[in-house]
Amino acid sequence: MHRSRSIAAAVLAALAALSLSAEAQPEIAYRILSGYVEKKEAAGDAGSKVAGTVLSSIGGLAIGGAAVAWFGSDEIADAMGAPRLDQDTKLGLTIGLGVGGAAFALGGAALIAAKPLDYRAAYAEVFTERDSAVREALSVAVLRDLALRGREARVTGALSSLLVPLVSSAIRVAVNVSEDKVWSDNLFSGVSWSSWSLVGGITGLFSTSEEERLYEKYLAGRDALYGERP
Amino acid sequence: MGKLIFGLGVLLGVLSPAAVPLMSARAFRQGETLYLSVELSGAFDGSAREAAASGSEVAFELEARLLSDDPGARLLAPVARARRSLRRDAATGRWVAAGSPGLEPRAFDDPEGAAILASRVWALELSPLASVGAGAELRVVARPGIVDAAGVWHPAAILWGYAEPLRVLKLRSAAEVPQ
Repeated sequence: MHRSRSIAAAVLAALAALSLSAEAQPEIAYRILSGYVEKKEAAGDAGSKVAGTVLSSIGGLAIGGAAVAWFGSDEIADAMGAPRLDQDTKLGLTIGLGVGGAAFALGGAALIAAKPLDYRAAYAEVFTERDSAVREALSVAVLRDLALRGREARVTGALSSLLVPLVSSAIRVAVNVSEDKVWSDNLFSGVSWSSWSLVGGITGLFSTSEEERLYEKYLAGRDALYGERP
Repeated sequence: MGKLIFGLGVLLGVLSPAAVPLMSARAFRQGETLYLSVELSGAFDGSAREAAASGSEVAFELEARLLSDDPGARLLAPVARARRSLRRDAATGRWVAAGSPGLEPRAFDDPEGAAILASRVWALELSPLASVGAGAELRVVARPGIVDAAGVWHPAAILWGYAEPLRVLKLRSAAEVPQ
């Protein structure tokens, strides 16, 4: 009797599961969002602090290099028995290293100073919602919002990196004009020192952030449920 | 003529140039029943969102017809219908997504979440799977409208720029309908 009752309960549970699967909508967005938040919580702000420290260090080294180039390159050249850098090359090197270093140092300081975002508090309406349909709809909205913010941050960072050689060039041109030289004199030799920033900016423009990839992952899952968009 | 009026409305700034909602549809089977899931992205954007924000209950009606794939195009099962709506409750300031079948009114603080929920029809029961037979065509169409306080439907094609999203799904046989 007890055994037949258990079998009946199991059959009923299986039938209920079958009917529920046609009625209960899978929560793709909620699962993706939960995974993302758990990953961020596990990492804490360690990633930002490390990245900020690395950036600040690189920035500091570059600024130090700029100072050495301007104030000490002549003495270093004399000590090594090598020809001194000509004034234009020295100026280009100093500007390139200085501006680039300042950008890195400021970026690193910002990362270190930034407080880690409490995602569960920021998106409390999602994580406290008990209705699965509402929770899923809210999760979609959050993923879309995160993807938009990620893209905005990526594009802003890329444009900032692209600005480094532009600023260096502008300073170079201003110096040339103030010294009554041709405006383009040694312009490209100065810019070449900040070519790494140009590469970084271009890479940033054509890559995708983690948040954008998460939203694409959601859209792929959504297409599996609702069919592909026309 | 309707599209001309819509264009004039956009030029005069009284209508938002909302794009036509994009319909994705997927037929699937569960047991011996054929179901349909549909999402209408952008159904509640632009003028529709503005109308809902002002307190009107903006809705769309979905019609799914299972037709034979012969030249006669006979109806193989009763037409399945669903309705989804969005409105902003003036008293609470919250956005309410509702519909039938399968969507009890749910309130949101965020209009985006409400619009996403209201733009989806999950697992609309169409017919017994056997109706598909050796092949069928599923035509899904959506039309916008406004529901008044008495619950009466008023067509409002202008909300979508007089467009009528349509998807046609070819079903080769009952066995080939995905789960």
